[in-house]
Formats: sequence, structure tokens, C-alpha cells
Amino acid sequence: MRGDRAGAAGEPAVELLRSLTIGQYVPRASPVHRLDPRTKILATTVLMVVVFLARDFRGLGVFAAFLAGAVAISQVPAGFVLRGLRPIWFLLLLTLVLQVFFGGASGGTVLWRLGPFAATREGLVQGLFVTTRLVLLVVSTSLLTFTTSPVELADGMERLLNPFRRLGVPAHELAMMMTIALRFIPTLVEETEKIMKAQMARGADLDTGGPLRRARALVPILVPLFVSAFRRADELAVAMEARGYRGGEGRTRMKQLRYRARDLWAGLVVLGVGALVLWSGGL
Amino acid sequence: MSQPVPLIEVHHLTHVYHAGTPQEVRAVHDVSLTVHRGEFLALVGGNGSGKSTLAKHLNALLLPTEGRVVVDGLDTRDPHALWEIRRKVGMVFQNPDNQIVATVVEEDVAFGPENLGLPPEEIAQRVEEALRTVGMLEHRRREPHLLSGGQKQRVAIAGVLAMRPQCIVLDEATTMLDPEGRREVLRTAHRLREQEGIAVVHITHNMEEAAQADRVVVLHEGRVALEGTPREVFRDVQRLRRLRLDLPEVAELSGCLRQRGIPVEGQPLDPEELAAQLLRWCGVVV
Amino acid sequence: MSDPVVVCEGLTHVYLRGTPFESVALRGVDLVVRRGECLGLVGPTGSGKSTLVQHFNGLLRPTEGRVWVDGVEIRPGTAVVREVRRKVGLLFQYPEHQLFEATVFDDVAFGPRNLGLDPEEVQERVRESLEWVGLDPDRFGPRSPFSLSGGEMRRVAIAGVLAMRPQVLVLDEPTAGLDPEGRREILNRVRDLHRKAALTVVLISHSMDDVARLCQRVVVLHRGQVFLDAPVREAFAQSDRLRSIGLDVPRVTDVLLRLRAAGLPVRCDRLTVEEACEEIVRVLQGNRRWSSSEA
Repeated sequence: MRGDRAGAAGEPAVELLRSLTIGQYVPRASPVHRLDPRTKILATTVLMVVVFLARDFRGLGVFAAFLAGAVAISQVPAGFVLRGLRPIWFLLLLTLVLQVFFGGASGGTVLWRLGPFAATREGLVQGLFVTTRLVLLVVSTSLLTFTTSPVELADGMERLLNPFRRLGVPAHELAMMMTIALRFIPTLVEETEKIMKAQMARGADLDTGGPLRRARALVPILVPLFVSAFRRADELAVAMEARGYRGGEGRTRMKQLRYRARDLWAGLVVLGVGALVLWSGGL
Repeated sequence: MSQPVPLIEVHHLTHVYHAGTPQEVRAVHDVSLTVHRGEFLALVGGNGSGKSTLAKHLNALLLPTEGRVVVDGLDTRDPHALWEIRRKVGMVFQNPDNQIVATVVEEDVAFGPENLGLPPEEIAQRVEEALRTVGMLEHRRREPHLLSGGQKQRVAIAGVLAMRPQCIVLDEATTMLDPEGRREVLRTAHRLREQEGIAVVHITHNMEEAAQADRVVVLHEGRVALEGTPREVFRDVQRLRRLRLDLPEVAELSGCLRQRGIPVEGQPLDPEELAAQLLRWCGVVV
Repeated sequence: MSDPVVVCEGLTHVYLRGTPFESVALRGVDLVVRRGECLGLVGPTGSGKSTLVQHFNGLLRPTEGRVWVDGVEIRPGTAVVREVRRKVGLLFQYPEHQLFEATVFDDVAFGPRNLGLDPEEVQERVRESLEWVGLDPDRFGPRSPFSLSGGEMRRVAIAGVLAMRPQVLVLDEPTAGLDPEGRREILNRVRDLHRKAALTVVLISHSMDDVARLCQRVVVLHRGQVFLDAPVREAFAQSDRLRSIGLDVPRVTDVLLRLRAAGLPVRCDRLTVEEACEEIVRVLQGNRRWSSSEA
């Protein structure tokens, strides 16, 4: 929302948002993209556990090599992946600094002093380890969202959680909610833009003032948006009922998820990498 | 065209909202009408005439306060018949956005058949047929928010079509569209009637659209005010004015000409018809 | 000819320039809106009508070309003086979707309050605007906007824009989604605002009949360019050109055009039922007398 200063009311931001597909999904035809979403979700979960079980740099090294290979095969540009780390650069830096000064066991080899604080060699090593682990964690999950569209993710999650319905997990309802939310995000973005413009046409100012003032300036945007969202939900519910919707019982699906040979191979590779990491780390 | 057993029968239907409270409102009062198989029926009226309320009784979204609604032999009050009724009578609503549920066109059209629990191969087949019938097959993998209003409504019609209904109710489905979109939707609706024999109930306040129907029922303040073919209904200019409705401009012009002594016969419904008649009258070879 | 209140010169607007989603909404538009006129702006969906009018109050800035409002140029990259928002009131489609306050009064007061007016002035403007749209300020003022009917909500939204006391009122399809009675009402009020309050009105509409009834001049947009810019009667007489881009002429004009095509000397610039009726009667009765006397 850049207001009037450099151009139209947040026009570039909103326009771009509307045109792009939601999420970080990068459409490609790579082997990774073609994997069943369930495989990818499970694989990512396993990898996240593995990365925490690694004990030293050798383990992380194996993991990193595997991840680099996966990114290469996925045809997602390395630049995208690195840009995905931008939001957390501060966290990484903070972690590193804290580890450097406080991480090493007391009485370690001191590298230099900063007032009452001492940077130790052990701390530096530990800091680099933890930071690298964080980076690998983020890249792993990014790879999932880069190669799997939000709809596939919703489908995958639903099928994975299906067996747990007996235990009370509302798998179908959650998936339905997610699909409908994804369906309406672009529509709601468009509506937000329209409401913003209508209020600005009446002299609303969304840019000046401190945080409190700006928050209050959002009321003329949020209230109509919420009212509209509730009305949509209402109308949508009626339309769904008119087409015979009565919950997940007895429903079939047109799109079928099927495990293929490539999913088996991918699963074996991930398990293999996991074993290698743990073995080299000296479990 | 009509067969012994009508598709939908409405018997002395009354609907009261919020009965027994200070907000009580009688939206529909003692309305009886019939929808015949394969006919194109226009249900017109201004805001507050009860047409939308009446529409929702046709597929049991609302139940009668008094009276009865029977769909192909099934009473809407019967809880066991509910889902079969909703399969036979499909409905397309006014807001093109607020009835599309999926992120991809073909998946939304599949929604209805999925609810019916049909096998995946059959669903895929029905989806393809339905999209082809409404002329949206090439857009099958598109995201709904990128479509125009007319296209969205056609997708909605496809979604209903995939359930193989006997009747489609267009509940003010053209009200929010631009002229191009309205033409698209009406063309599709007429094609459905001609090719598939599906009855269409078109609820609208646009008299030009009503003029294209087989039969018109005019509602006013919850009651049936006029009923008949478009020509019959549009004859009475004054009456329609009093009912807060407009006439197709051509009908108005015809009425005006008649008043001035030019004998316009019958009830021409479009410019071509009226022009032809006038030319014949003054001896010009058409 | 009265003085220009909005001037566009070579106006071009490109959305998302430099990205893969770039699209040209307006291309070299030259347009003048004259003070006191009622201008109709028509064109197929996607022709750029909405984009164009958003330049009139600074919501959008030209990518190329220039825009002046009341003699002041609106330049890209500069802050918009609130004055422009006050001078040019813009009513979007389905304006009832922008209502948000707890009471009708407060919602209509939103505009005047943003202008920094003092409470008495605000009070006066709100009352006046509500009366203008036919809503009794005492009955409707304290009510919640969400408790009103659709038509009433729309009128509250219109009052909200009128309360800014604009010189130019831009209406984007003000009758969209209304039933015939509702449409008649809104159009009558627009006509009153134009004639009695001497507002300059720009009416975006898909209904040729509405434009024919209310406007003196019509600008037709097609694919972001000005396709036609002429007085209303002239414009609608060019039915072939209009039809070639998917637009239509008023139905009564259509009847006249057919009669003319068959050889009758009818004037085709009659736009309303009454005018067309007169014209047809005039020509037909004359013709009939002539042809029957021949026989």
C-alpha cells in the first residue's frame, strides 16, 4: 500500500498479487514435480527429522549434497531458493552471534573479546553448525512448496489424513476449507483493491500517521471485506447444498492420486540419505 | 410439448419468513403454477415480488409454510427425497463467483457428480460432456477468477448439467452480467432446452429476456399477477406499468403506435418483427 | 461551448509494466469533459472505461500522456492534493459494498470528515445528501446501513459521494443489478443532479437506452482507444459501426433503421419511445395517404 506517493493506491503490489498463483509454486515438468504429493509431504517430514539428528558437519554435508541435487533436478532456479532465505537472514545472523559468544563450553579457546563478552572457537563452530542446519531445514520445506501446487498439497494432506478420520480427524473438511480458501484468495484480493479505491475516492488516507492511526484507517476496508466474506460464505453454502453436498460421507473424487514406481524410488532415496546422515554422524 | 405428469407442480404455496416474530414477512401467498417438461418458463417480477423465494422451493432449499411442491412425483417435504430432488432440479445463482468452489474449472464441474458418489471415470466423462455443451471445454484447466462473468455462469451451468437434471433454474443468473454475458447464458440455456430437452425456469426482471420464453408468469407482492405467452402478457401495457415492470421497448413502441391509430397487430417482440409489420402496413414490399 | 473540466491528452495506461503480466488498458486517449455536460462512456467489457475514469481523481496515474482536472495537472509520482478527490466524485459499481460504519449518518459523513470539515458543516452536508437521494435523514440516519434493503444501501453510498460536494460526478454503472423500478429511480436522480444541481456527469453504462435518455454526448471506447466521440444522436445513428464492436443501439432506433433501410424517409436519430413513435406516425401516415391515393 504505497498510497499516492509513487503511483496509484498500492496498484503494483495488488496487481502482481492477483496475477501470480498463490504461494511459491513454480510450475515445471521435473521428476520432482511429478512425484505424488503424498510422497513429497512424507519425504519432507522425514528429512526435517533427519536434519535434527545429524551430529556433525559430515552428516550435514551429506544432507546438503542430497538437497543440492534435488534442487537441480527440480529445475527450480537456485536464485529462487536463495531468495527464500531472505526473510530469515536476521534470525540466522542472530543465532550465529549468540552461539559465537555463548555457545561454546566455558573455558574454550577465546578468539577475541568484546567488552565482557568472549567469542570462542567452539562457539563459532557450534554457531556455524546450527545456522547451516537451519538453512537446510528451510530449503527442504521450500523445495516442497516450490514443486507442489497448493491444490496438490491440500489433496495430498487429505488423503494422508483420511485413515485417521475414525479417530476424529476432519480430513475432508480441512481439505475443503483449504481448497475454498485458495479459490477465493484472488477474488478477495480484487475486492480489497476495489474497496480501497472506493474509500480513497472519498478522501481516505491509508499512508499517513503513526501505527495507531493507520490501523484505524484500515477499518473502512476491513469491515466491508468481512461483511462481504460472510455473505459469500453464506451464498456458497447454499450453492453447494443445491449441488448435493452433504459432507464427506459417500463422496468420490474425480482426480485419483496414484503411487508410481518413481514414488517408490524417491522414498528409498530419502530413506537412504537419512541412513547415511545418521551413520556418518555416528549415532 | 407438455406431458400428462408435469415436471414441477406448485400447489397453493405460501411462504412466511420469521413466522411469529415482529419481522414476519409473507413472501409468497397462495401461488400455484406448473412447470412442464422441456419448457422454457420465465418468472418475472420486481424486487419483493417473491420470485426468488419461489425459486428456492423448486429444489427444496426452502420448505412451504403452507401448500405443497411436487417435483417429478416427489414432495419437497419428504426428507428422503431431498437429494434426488436436488439432482433433478439444478440451480444457478445470481453471483457468478459465489457458487464456484474449486480452484480449477473442471474440478468445479466435477463437484456435483462427486457428491453423488459416482465412479471417477464416469465423473470425468460427464465433466467433459457438460463443458462441451456449454462451450467451455477449452477453459477446463483455467482458474475461475480469470474468467468473465458470462463464462463463470456457464461453468456453473456445466456444474449443474453434470448431474443430469431434468430442469435448470436460473435464479437471476443474468442480473449481474454485462450484455455479452447475458447473451452467452441465454444462448446456452436455450440450447439446453432444444438439444437436451431440459426444462428451464428463468427468473429475471429483464423483460427482453422474458420475451424469449415459451411462457411467462408475472409475480407481484407474492402472488401470481399475470400468466401466459409473452405476447399475451405484454399486451397489457398499463397493467405491467402498475406492477412496477418494464416492457420490452418494442412492445412499448407498439402500444404507442396503436394509440396513434397505426394498427399494430399481435404483440411484436423485437425490432425486426415490428419493422416488418409497419412496412407491410404501408404497402412497402418487404 | 463551455469550458473543459477534465482534459486527457495522449493518455496511455499500462498495468504491470515490465512484468510478464503487462497489459495496455488505454492507448493514446484524447478526451475532454466539458463543465455541465452529461457524458456517456460506453464500450465492451475490457475496453478501458473503468481505467479511464480512475485517472480523473488521481487513483491512477498516466503511464504516458497527461491529465488535467480543473486546470491542475495530475502527474505521476506526486502526491494528490485532496482537492482533486473532492472535485471529482467517483462511484464504483455496486457501491453498497463499501459501506462500513455503524450508522448511515456516520457512513455518509466519512467523506466530509476526511475533508476536515467542522461538525456543523458535516451535519448539514449529510442531511442534504440523504435528502437528495430520497432518504429521510431523521429516519435513516441512526440506522445501521446493513439493515437496509439493497436499493437503499446503494442510495446511501451515493449520498456518501455527494456529501463531498463534487463538481464532477462519475458513475460506473449505477443501475447494475437493479430491477426496473430501481433503475428508473436512480436514473431520475442522476438526471436531477445534472439539471438541477448543475453537476457535470460522466455515466458509464452498458445500457444504450439509459445513455440515450440522459446524455448529450457519447464517447465509445474499444480496446483502450476512442472509437467514437460524438453527440448522442449522431453516435447512435452509426449502428453498423457500433455493432461491429459488439455494441447495440437503442431498440427503437433499431426499428427506425430498418424502416429506413427499406426505403422510408424516417430520421434515425430518434432515441426514445415517444420520439420514435412521433417520427413513425409522421412518415407512415404521410406515406399511407400517398400510396392509397395512388391506388
